[in-house]
Amino acid sequence: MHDARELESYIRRKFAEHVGLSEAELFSEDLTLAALISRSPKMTNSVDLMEAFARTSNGLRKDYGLRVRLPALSLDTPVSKVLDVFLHEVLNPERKSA
Amino acid sequence: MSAVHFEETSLTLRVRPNDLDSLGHVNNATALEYLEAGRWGWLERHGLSRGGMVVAVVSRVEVDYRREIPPGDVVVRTVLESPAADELDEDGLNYRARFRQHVFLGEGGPLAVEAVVSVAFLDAASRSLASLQQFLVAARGGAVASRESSS
Repeated sequence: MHDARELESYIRRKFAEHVGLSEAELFSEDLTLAALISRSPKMTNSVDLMEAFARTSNGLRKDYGLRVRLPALSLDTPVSKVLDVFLHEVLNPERKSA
Repeated sequence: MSAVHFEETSLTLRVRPNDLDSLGHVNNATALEYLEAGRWGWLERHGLSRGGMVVAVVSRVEVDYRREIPPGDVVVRTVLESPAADELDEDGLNYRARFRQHVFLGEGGPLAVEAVVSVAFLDAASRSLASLQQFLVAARGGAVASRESSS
C-alpha cells in the first residue's frame, strides 16, 4: 500500500513537469484545464493536455506499479479535480495492477 | 514491458513542375506535402500500414523555411522525436507523436525546410481520441485505405 501523501506529491510534481508550469502556479490558483493549456509553454491544444495526463500515468506505472484510467474531463474542470481523480484511481485497490 | 524503437528515415522526391510558383521555386504549401510524404515513408519503413480503425491526424505544425527549393530532387528526413525511445513502450500510454523533419536539396545538400509536426490519433468510428499504442496495433494489422488529415 502506497502512502497517499507521497502519491499526491508525485502526481503534483510530475503533472507540473509535463505541463511546464510550477506546482505553485498550477495548484495554488487551481487553474481550469483551459487556462492551463493557455498558460503552459508546452501546450497548444487538448491533445497536449492528454499527453501530460498520459505521461503522469506512465510514471505511476513505472515507479509504483499503478495503473490509472485517464479521466475524460471538460476544459472547465479545475486542476484540483484532476488531482482528485488521479488519487482516487491510484488509491482504489480495484484499479491497481502489477 | 516492451520498448519500441523507430529509426530515422529518408525519402527522396523529385520536384514536379506544378510544385513551382511564379518565382520558379517550390511553393511553401507544397513543402508541407513533402513533409507529409516523408511521414508516410516513415510509416512504410517501419511496417505500419495505412488503414485500420485508428488514423493519424496532424495537430500542430511548426515550420522554418531556410532556403528556396529549385527544381531537382529533395530528400526528406523524418525522425520520431517524442515520445523518445526510452519513453515509448507498448504497455504505456501516449496521445501525441512529435516528428522532427528536414528537407534537404538533394542527398548531402543544404537544408531547405525544418519542421516539427505533432500528430494525434483518432478512432475512425467514434472520432474520439485514441492512443499512439492503439494506432500502432491497428497499423500493424493493416487494412483498407485511410488518410492522414488536418484537424
